[in-house]
Order: sequence, then C-alpha cells, then structure tokens
Amino acid sequence: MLILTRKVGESIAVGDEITIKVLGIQGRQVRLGVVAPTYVPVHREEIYKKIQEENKKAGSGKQIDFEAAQRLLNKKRKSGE
Amino acid sequence: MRASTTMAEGGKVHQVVTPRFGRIEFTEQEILTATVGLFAFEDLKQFLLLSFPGMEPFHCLQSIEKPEVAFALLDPRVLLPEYKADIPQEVVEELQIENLDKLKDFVIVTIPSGKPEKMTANLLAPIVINLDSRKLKQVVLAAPEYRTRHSILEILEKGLKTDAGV
Repeated sequence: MLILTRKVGESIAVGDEITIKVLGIQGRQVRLGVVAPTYVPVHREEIYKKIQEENKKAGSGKQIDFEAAQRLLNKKRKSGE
Repeated sequence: MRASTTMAEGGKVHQVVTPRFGRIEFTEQEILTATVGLFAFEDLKQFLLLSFPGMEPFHCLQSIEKPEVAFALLDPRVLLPEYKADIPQEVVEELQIENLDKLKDFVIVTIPSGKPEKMTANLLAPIVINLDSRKLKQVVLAAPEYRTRHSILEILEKGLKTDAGV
C-alpha cells in the first residue's frame, strides 16, 4: 500500500483522470472530494459491498419463484386495502 | 453461446435460452444496455426487461450475455407510493435523459428460494432505465432512509421502517 501524507486542500492524482482531494478534517472524520470519470463508480466501501452482496443473492438464483412472490404480494396488497 | 441470431421478416431476431423462461426471442430495439454493469455483475451489459402474465406487478431483468443471471424487479410505488429516486445530475447525463416521462425506475427484489415470504427490496440502489436511449444503470441514492434489504411484506403491513439493517 502506498502511504501519503496530505494537508487540507491538497490532492492525490490516480492516473490521468482521478483526483482525490482532502477537503477538511473534523475530529476523527475526513471529508474527501473525488473527481473521476462516470465509468469509474465511486462509493463508500461498505455500501458498495452491501449492494454487491445483495445483487449476488438477487440475481444468481437459478429459479426465481415469481409465482409465489406474486401470490404473496397481491394477497397482502388486497388485505391492506 | 446460448444466444443466437436468425434473419426473419422485419429484421434480425435474436434468441437466448434461459433457465427460467426457456427460449426468448427479441429484436435489437428491445435490448437495454447498462452504461456501467450492475454491482457484482460489472461485465454484463445487455439485458431484456420481461413481463409475463402471472408475474405482475413483478418484472424480470434478464441478462442476455449470461442467461442464468436474472433479477426480479418491482415498481417501488407498489410498495411505497411516496418512494423518490433522486437521480444525480451526472446520471441524467450518462443515461442521456431528455424526457423525464421516459425514465423508469425499479427496485431489485431478492426472493429467497423456498421462502418467498422473506423477500426483500433494495430501495437504496434502484435500476434506472431511459426508455428512449435504452440505457440503464443501477444508481446508489443518497437517501439515508433507504437500505439494501427491506422486508416487502413488512413494508406492505406497516410502511417503511427506517431502523432495519442496511
């Protein structure tokens, strides 16, 4: 891992297209500004991982049981009316 | 390859054989292209949006490149009439959105095998589709009240509970 020390207002360049700037520090929190092309998704890591995990569960099922889900959903919607 | 192409009257008809629906025929105009692949499926770019009788209000986002990959989708307003997907400006540009009426958003539903009552909706990262440009993207919303696993039956019973785990 490359370790760099930066002051508030200073940046790190990752390749030609990505810049990460330290915007401010407050206690134990650091505010970062990231400039990157749209094809580079930038997200908080824990959110990124949770969405990845959930997509794997949702999309890798061999046989999604639409019929059972539909029955349940429509029954619940009717009873809630 | 399980996707193939034949010539027919009215243009090229492609087909894909899926484990869930069997053989599906489609034309090029029906293909939805992901600008950036879905999380964990970054290499898959071509999809079909399928709706069958007996499935509503669910839809299916079917991968063309990898037929075993398919997602159950739901119009989030079926669950929460007040659901709001604030699309960031850069996504508006990325999807070439000119007409907001042609913008459609869906949430991905996880339906656990054998336990459909445990199905959950991912309200945090909806699939946004521009029906004009046929481009789609999974967008992460900056909405602290939305998470990746909301119990659908609970939402229908009690509305949105914001203390559910992410």
